[in-house]
Amino acid sequence: MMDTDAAPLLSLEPLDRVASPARFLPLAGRLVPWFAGAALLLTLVALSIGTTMGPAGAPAGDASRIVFIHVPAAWMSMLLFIAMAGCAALALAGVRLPALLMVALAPTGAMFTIVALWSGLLWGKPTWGAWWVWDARLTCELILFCLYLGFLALRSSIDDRRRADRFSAVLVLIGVLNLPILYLALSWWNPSPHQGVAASLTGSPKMARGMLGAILVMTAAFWMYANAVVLARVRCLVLEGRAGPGSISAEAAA
Amino acid sequence: MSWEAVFAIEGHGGYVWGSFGMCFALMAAEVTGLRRRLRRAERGA
Repeated sequence: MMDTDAAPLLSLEPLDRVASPARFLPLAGRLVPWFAGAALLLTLVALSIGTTMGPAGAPAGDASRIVFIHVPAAWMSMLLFIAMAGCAALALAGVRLPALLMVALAPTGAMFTIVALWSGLLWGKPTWGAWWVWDARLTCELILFCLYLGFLALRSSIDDRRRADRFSAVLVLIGVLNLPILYLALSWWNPSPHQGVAASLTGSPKMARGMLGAILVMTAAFWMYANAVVLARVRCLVLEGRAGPGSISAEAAA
Repeated sequence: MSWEAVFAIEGHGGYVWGSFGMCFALMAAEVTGLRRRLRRAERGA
């Protein structure tokens, strides 16, 4: 007969204990002001680099300044969805905090996707002569926005928190398949009016160092902003969960 | 150089400031909404 009480080979219980919402709440409270301060400082640095150095030699002239916002926002929209997918995998494995993080990441990810799409429209008109083209990369970014909206709509339509966590985690894990397509769209569907990759880990940058520097600093600023906002939202979710029985905090204390 | 020229950015001012403005307006809206929600949650906790 099989021993059903045998301990599993890989237990996530220690991780769940360490990353419980109750322990996380004070830590998040302490970290938020630091992340917010860093975000403000880095934004000012990026803006000063971007406005003083300018788009030296860029083919689109001064309209190229839009990339200081567009590229970091597009990177963040993808990065936050990848983070959501990581949280979704852990949430399905039964760890509680990642489910909260997944919920907290979504509105900020959707906001960055709106910024990427909006600045893309404003970039497209003066450079391509059209606000929008049904290019693969633009379409994948629009699908990413729909995934964020779908995630938020799905969560708000299910009352039971555990079921909402499970279904929305599955949606994120399916939706993350859109990201490799979004990333590789330029090499798969060529020619495209969309500019080439701004920077890659393997190749040399295809733009002026000053512009790339401003983009990287702005990306760091957006990353700090996202950390601050997401941690603050997790605090909200935990505090709001205290209101009723079966809440997140009550479960964490159990 | 006049302020008008600075904001016009060779005729691209509307596009550049439109993207920067939208970005920072959305961030400000998110932060404001979150601060309000956090205050309400802390009062209710």
